[in-house]
Amino acid sequence: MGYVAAAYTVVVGLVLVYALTLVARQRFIDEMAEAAGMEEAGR
Amino acid sequence: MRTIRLLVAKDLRLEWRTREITTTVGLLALLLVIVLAAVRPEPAAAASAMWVTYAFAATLGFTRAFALERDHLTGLRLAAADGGVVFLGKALVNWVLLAAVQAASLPAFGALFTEAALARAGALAAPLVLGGVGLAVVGTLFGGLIVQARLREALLPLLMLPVALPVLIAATSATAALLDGAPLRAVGGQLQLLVAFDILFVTASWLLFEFVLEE
Amino acid sequence: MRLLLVAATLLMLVGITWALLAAPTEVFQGLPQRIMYLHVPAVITAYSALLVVFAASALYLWTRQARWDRLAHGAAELAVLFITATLATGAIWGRPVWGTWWSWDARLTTTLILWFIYVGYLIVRAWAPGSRGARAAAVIGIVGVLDIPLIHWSAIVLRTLHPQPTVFRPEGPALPASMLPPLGINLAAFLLLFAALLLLRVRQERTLARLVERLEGA
Repeated sequence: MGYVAAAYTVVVGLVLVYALTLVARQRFIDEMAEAAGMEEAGR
Repeated sequence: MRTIRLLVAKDLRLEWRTREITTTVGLLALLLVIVLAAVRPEPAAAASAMWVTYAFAATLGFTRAFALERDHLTGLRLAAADGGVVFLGKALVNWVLLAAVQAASLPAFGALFTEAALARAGALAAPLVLGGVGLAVVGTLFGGLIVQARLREALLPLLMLPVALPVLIAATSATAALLDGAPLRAVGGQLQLLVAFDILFVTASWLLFEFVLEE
Repeated sequence: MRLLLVAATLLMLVGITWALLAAPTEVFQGLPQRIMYLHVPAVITAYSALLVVFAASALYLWTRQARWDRLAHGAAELAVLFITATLATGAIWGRPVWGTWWSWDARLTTTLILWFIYVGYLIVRAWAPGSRGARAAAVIGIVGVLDIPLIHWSAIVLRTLHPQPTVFRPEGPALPASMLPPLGINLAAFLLLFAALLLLRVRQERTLARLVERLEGA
């Protein structure tokens, strides 16, 4: 039981952490783009 | 062909005059043999000790090979006209230096680990040469790739060792069997792998080196 | 893109629920066998990502268009992510079933070494920006994939706990039919997730490149 829980937690955790860093990076890029006066860059 | 000969002669002459790489790498190799033998002087450990030593010596020596050239890459390219030629020249020089270390350290392994290292030197030449070529090829490709990078001394082993792992596994297992007294044909599988690795990586590097040298 | 991400997430929730609650418990291994529903999709996704790296790197060296380089970079990042997931679930599965976290089996060795090669790839990307770093990375991306059969061959010398393929075989799947739907759903979810994250990451890098261009132009 513990092994299964551990495995599922690890995978979901890894994917979540990666997704969250992506989101954080996106925020940062959006702010930079706005500051540089780029209109809706690359959407 | 002539260009390769000139490139190799230039590098070897330079090395002969300064003896920078030979001294540092040779001493490092000797030191490694002694450390490894002090920890575990059994004949069973000989093969792995040998290849650990060669791998370390190679990563140290190969970073130097291109450091020499860092500011003259463009000149080298213009002179040789072809990336593949520069690659073959450099790989040959790296292999000669590595082979010198291998040959010079063999008596130390014979004295500290097992007499078989000297008694079977003839048969051992096969994995030593084929494995040495593999290490030299991978080392030259990645060495050229990261000449300009920061921290290249740390980066080279990091990139080179995983890619060269098949060489290390096959060569160590062949060396161990030969030291144990097995005939050369008993390690045919390992030697085949080494040959395949050498051919694949010589071809790939020869084709890719054009991109490696670009400014 | 957002649609893709939502679809991947939903599919994964369905797949995981099915795998944990509805799928049958295997007779010999018991519960830990349910780790398969993550392990197998993760490894297939990881190797697909490596193929993308290989193709995009080759295309970049061929065409010199920055978009191939961005694709290779994003795919390499995700390859490392999914290889990490594969190794972690594999170790956790191995402990109760084989009695060991790790064995020097051909597949395990190959996957571990690929992890090192592509982490090296990402380090080169981080330390050598610009087109020189991109070229260096492309060469590593190509060489790493070429190395796969050789690593595998070299590790076969050390023989093997890992089961032979049970799903993709010429004779058809060896798994019981009741195990296939959750596995298929999870596989689809992982591949969709990979595609969605890859698109996001590539788009990000494109925006960033444009931003840098704009700032340098100003």
